[in-house]
Parts: sequence; C-alpha cells; structure tokens
Amino acid sequence: MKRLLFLMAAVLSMAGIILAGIYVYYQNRAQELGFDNAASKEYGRHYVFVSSDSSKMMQDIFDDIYQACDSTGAYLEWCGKGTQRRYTAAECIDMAIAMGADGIILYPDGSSTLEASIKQAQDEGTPVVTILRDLSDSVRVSYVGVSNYQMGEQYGGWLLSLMNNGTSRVCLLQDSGDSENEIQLLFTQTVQAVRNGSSDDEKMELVTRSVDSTVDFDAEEVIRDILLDENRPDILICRNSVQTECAIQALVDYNLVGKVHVIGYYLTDTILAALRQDLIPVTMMIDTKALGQDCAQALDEYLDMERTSNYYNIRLDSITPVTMGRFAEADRPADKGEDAA
Amino acid sequence: MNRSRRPRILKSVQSRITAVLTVVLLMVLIVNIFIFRESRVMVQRINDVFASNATIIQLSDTLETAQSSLYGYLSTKSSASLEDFYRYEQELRARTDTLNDRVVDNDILMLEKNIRVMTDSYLNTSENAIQARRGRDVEEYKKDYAQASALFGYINSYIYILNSSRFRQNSENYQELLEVIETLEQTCMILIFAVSALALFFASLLVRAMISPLGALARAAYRVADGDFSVEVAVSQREDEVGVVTNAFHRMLNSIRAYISSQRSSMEKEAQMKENELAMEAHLKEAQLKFLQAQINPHFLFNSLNAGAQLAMMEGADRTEVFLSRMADFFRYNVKKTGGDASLREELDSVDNYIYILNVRFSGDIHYEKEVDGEIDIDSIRMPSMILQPIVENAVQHGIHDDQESGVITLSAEFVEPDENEAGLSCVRVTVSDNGTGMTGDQIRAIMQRPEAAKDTAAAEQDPGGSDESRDSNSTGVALANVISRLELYYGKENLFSIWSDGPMCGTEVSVLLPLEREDTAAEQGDDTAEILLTEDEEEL
Repeated sequence: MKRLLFLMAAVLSMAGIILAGIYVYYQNRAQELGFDNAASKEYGRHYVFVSSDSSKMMQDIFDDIYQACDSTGAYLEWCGKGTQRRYTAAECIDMAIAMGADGIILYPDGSSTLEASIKQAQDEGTPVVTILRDLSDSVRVSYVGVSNYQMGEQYGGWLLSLMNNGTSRVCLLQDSGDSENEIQLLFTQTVQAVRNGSSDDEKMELVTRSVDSTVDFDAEEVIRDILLDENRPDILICRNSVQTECAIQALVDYNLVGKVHVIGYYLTDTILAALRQDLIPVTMMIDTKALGQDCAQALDEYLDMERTSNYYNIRLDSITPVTMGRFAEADRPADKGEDAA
Repeated sequence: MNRSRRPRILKSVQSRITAVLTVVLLMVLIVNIFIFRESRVMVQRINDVFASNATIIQLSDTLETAQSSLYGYLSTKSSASLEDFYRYEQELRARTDTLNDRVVDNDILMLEKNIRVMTDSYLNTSENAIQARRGRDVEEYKKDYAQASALFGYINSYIYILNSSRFRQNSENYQELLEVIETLEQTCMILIFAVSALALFFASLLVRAMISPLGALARAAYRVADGDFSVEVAVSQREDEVGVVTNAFHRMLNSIRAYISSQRSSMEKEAQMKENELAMEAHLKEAQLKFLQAQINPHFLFNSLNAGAQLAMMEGADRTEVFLSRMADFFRYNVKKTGGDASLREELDSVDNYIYILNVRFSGDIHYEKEVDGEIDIDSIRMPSMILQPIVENAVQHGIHDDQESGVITLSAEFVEPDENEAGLSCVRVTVSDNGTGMTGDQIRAIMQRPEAAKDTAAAEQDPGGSDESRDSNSTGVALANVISRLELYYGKENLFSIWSDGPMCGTEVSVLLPLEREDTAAEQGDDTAEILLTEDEEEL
C-alpha cells in the first residue's frame, strides 16, 4: 500500500513536472510569437538611407552600410521602403528631417530639388552623405563612391581589349539619376583612355543612351531597342546591375552573344552565371563594404567633430571569367540585406 | 510509531477511497484548469492581435480627423474646427505617447518611433500654420500647411507600413498561434487521457489494495465454514475497517479453536469419567456377586445342611435330622431346578418340604392338605419347576398369614378333560386353595395382567446369570406373574393359570393346568435349558 502510494505520488509529481514543462514551453512559444516587440539593442544615432533604387546592388550596399553603422552604434533605416507610393529622394529627406534622423545617406535620384532638400536637412542639423553619385554643388558633408576618372580608365582599358580593327560602336548607358557633369566626366575620361591606348586602325564611336530608372521596365525596353537597332553597338557599357541583367537576357534572347560585348556592373547571380558561360567578358564591381564603412565613418565624424572628409574613394574591380572565382567565394549571403532591413 | 502519527481521518477505507477519488478528481481538475488557462491565454493573445491593429487604425483615424480639422480651420477659420483640431491634437499626442521613442533594432518599434516623431513634427507644423493663419500670414500658413500635409502623408504611409507590418506579424503569429493551440489541444487531450487513465489505474490499484484482504478473508471464512479450522489468518496491521474485520475474524477463529479444544478436552474427561464409572460399577457388581455367591452359596448351604443332618442322626436327634434333611432337599431342589423343569412329584415334594419347614418355624400352625388323584403318574408329568411352591407360598403369605390357626391350605391334583378347561387340552389340574383373606377382582386382574411384563423376568430366570432384582426378599423369589409366564413359555399355551376368589375373606383358589401333551419346541427348549442348568450345577458341585 505504501509502495503504491509512493508510486502514485511519483506519478503525480511527474504529471506536475510535465504540466510545468508544457506551461513553460507554451510561454516560450508565446514569447517567440513576437507579440512583445522587445528590442535587443538600442542605438545612439538614427541614420536614414535614401534611395529610390531598390535593386539587388543597392540592397547589398544598404546591407553593408547597415552593418557598418550598426558596429558604430547607429541604426540605419531605408526611408520610404515599403510605402505604398514611391517617394522621391527629396521627399525622403523631408521625411528623415521630420522623423528626427541624425544623418542621411543619400543615393541621388537626379532630381533638381535635392540640393535644396540637402540644404534644408543641413539647416535642421541633419548631415547628408551622398554615395555613388555626387552632388558637388550641394551642401552634403561628404561623398563616398568611385571616382569617374578611375572608372573611365577602367572602361577605356576594357574597350581597348574588346574593340576590333576598324570602327567599334560603343554605347554607354546613362541613368536618369546620373548628373550630366558626372556623365560628361566619365565620357571624357573613357574616350581619353581609349584614345591613349588605341592604334590607328582602331576607332571608337562612343554614344550614350539614357535609361529612366524612375519608369518601370524602361531599362529593358531601352536595351532591347539598342541591341535590335541596325546600328547596334559592338560594346555595351552598363551602369548598374539591372541594366547588366537586362543586357545579358537580350544577348541570349536575340542570339547576340559574341556579337555584342557587354561590360557589366556589379555581381549578381545572373551576372555571375553569365561570366561562367562567357556571355559577357567583364563586370565592374565596387567594394560595398568599404563604401559602408566610409559612410558610417563620414557621418560619425561629422556628428562628433562637425567635419569630415569631403570625398571617400571606393575601389572599382574588374571581374572576368578568370577572376570571378575569388569574388564568387567572397560572395555575400543573399539574405543578409533582408535580415538587416 | 508512524501509524500513530497518521491522521485518524485517513485510517478508514471510506476516507481512503474518498482521498483517492479526491486526488483523481484534483488531477483531472488541475489538468482542465491548466488547459482552460492556457486556452484563455491563447485567446487573449489572439485578442492582442486585433488590438494592436485596432490601435493603429484609431491612430490613423485620429490623424485623419486632425488633418481635416486643420484644413477646416485654415479654410474657414472656424472655431469649431480649431477646437476639434486641439482636441484631436491631444488625443493624437496621447496615442503617440504610447509608441516607442527609442532607436532600437526592431523595425516595428522604429516605425513607431518615426510615427511618433513625425506626428510631433506634424502637430508643430500645424500649430505654426494655425498661428500664421491667425496672424494673417498667408504665405507662411500655406507653406506650413503644405509641409503639414506632406508630413500627414508621410505619417499615413508609415502608419500603413506599421499596420501592414503589424498585420503581417500578427497574421504570422495568428497562424503560429493556431498551430500552438492545435498542438496544445492535442497535448492536453493526450494529457487528459493519460491522467485519467493513470488516475483510474491508481484508483483501481488502491481500491484493490484496500479490499484485497477481504478476498483472503472470505476464502478463509469458506474454509472455516467447511470445517477447516487450521486456516491461518495473519493479524492485520492496518487500522481501517478491513483491518478491524480481519483482526476480528482472527480473534473469532482463535476463540472457536479454543472452544473446540476445551470441548474436546471436556468430552475426553467426561468419557474418561464414564469409563471409570462403568468400571467401578462393574467392579461393584462383581464384588456384590462374589459377596452373594459367598454368602448364599446354595451348594455350600445344602451340603452344610446335609452335614448337619448327618450330625444330628449320629447324635440321635431325629427331628433335627429330618428338619435338616428336608431343608437340604428344599434348597437343593431350588438350586437344581431354577429355570428348568421338574416332575410333578418333585414339585409336590418341594411343597411338602416347604410346608414342613414353615411348620417347624411356626410350630405346626400351617394346616396343609394334599389330595392327589391316584391315577396320575406324578413322576412322568413334567412341568416347569418352582411353580407350585410360589403359589403355596402366596397362600401362606397372603391367604392365611393373619389367621394361621384356622387357615387351611389345600393342594389337589386331578385329570381334566379338554372340554373341561379353558386350554382345551388334556391336562392335570393342580389347585391350591385357601380359606384366607381372599382377593378382590382388581387384585386378580392386576396379577393376571402382569405376565406379559413378567415374561422377560421369567426368561431371565431361566438364565443362571440373570438379574435377581425381581425377587422378593421375603419369598423364595418367584412371583405369581413369573409363574404364569413360565407356564406359557414352557407349554406354548395360554390360559393355563387361573385365580378364583369370591372376594375378601372368602378364600382364594389358584389353578394350574398342566397339559399332558406339550408343544415340542417348548418342551425341547425347557429340556435343553434344564440339561444345561443341571450340567452347570454339577460342574459347580
């Protein structure tokens, strides 16, 4: 009888433990459900990333800037992302000012009101750092990006290697967000580089075509028109990852592989695959990590010391089918940016 | 020691069963409460899902009305619109005060922070617009209104994002919550079944453990009922009803065993006592017999009488010699013929000797007359012995005892034809009559009805070892009933004995019929008996 009572007490205790275990389990599950939006980290500064371009390249850039800011105690928020309407960079700057951001990292969209917005932000005590596209006439505190001189030298070198005897038609794609000064500088530097390295037999006919990035699907339409034109270029220079992917798809679709050489920009899975299949000879790759660190450094320095370097140069690499292995191994995780966002 | 510490309330079976059921019900109740509580928590969580979205929508509605009020005031400068704006401004601030204001690594909280700060900016800008409108600064209030409208749009966009994020998060949570609830339901169902099964199992075990001694007790009771008292029932240490019953049964069994043991001992003692008593009685009888034998050994007596007679003859005392000789003859006849038959002569001689002895004792006062038909061959007629002497003795003792001087006893023997007697046989009738006190009819009937009872006595008298209880100490030991019975046994006939009297003081006449033709079996039986007795007597002599 006593043994039975002992056994019963043991089983009751076991049932109690199981009940407690179930209770704890469901409490934990309830906590994991995220009803309680508990933050694990609090930041001292709030930076706002402004970009109307939401391509993979820009996502990667944001991720790297986010990581860099996070390491310095600042939270980076992509302004306007997820909203129903697509806000302009100027509106995003207004928003950033209204939400009390400590700093703005701006990828200019080419609108003419940006200088005023940057000035207003600066007046409100919100410094602005531009990336990849400089607004030298504005009051931005710093620019972080590739120098057009370096870029022109790179393009020129590759054009020389890709040009045939005779006249080669080269088309440089221009984004609507690019400032005329920037394009002009790049154009000039590229021509100069080709001119310096070409023989007498080699002639280049360089033209620019504008792609309106504010209009959906415009890049694909423009590139198709370029490639299907009677005077299609022998070499097509793309200025972002979207243009590059559209060009690769058009090469395949219209059987222009080997007939048109595409100099790509950035490295996505599609571009990497194209390199492996020798669909394109080369793609330009910016060092996004360095870009992120420089952005965070520029803002932090300005906020801490009210001054910073006016210009942070980012290295530009050329990735070929031969050298792509090194970049492929160092390829960033595809979901990193999404997590950070 | 430990048992004594146990609460009294837990010692009875009823209390234990109640405790077991209570524990079982508590287990199930706890599980149900747990399930109910968890379900409530989950339902509350679901409510939270809608509550967070509802809060955001209310914030959006408030912002919308505030913007409308602002527009209304700037358009019409209406006091009501202004009041509405300020009211909604307060409400808006109250709502946004609950939102996050820190910079953290949580998108939703950051959205809240942005909404809160932008709302503050919106309200400040709106206030500036209102102040500019009051100051009639058209350009300024239009600029501020445009700025406020832009902010209103931004806030709405962020509210939309926040609402969407919340809704997305809540939808995911809701889906997970449904899965959790489903898992919880399954777990709880399993738990309920498991706990119920365990509870029933333990309840069954406990109840069985509590009442199992009753089964053993019942088996022991059946064995006891079948007479097997060797069954062992251990003393129970339990203090409940089962223990009480078991111990009571144990005590009862011990009591029965002790009772049976005492009864057996008592019976053995009683048997021993009876055995001793019988042995003592046997010894006593044996002693009495030996005493009587030693005291009244008739052979020794009549041999002694013969010796006395011879002595008297040698001394010349003739009368003494005759007396002693006749006494010796009388007793010899008594000894030799008891239980056997004799001739009529021997019977008559025995009567003569008896009368002579009485006359010697009573100085010749007994008047006795004998009339025997001369044609009767008294030597050849056989009859049971000791028939006539008791009759004569009765006549002396009861008939003429009070008047011996005038009393006369007459003995006669004569032939009687078959048609002259009640037996219907050729007989010799021997009649003993007296003129004494006589007998009443009742006395005669009483004597005549006794033979049946006396038959056994008569048969016993034929046995030398038979009882002497029926004998009268003052007589020769043979009663009339005995005489009648022996006559009927000897001849196999009835109505051989009759008594006549005309009443008191009219004398009595007793007749005995001696059939001349005797039934063979009866005769043979009587002869054999006589021979046996004779042989035994001679051996003793």
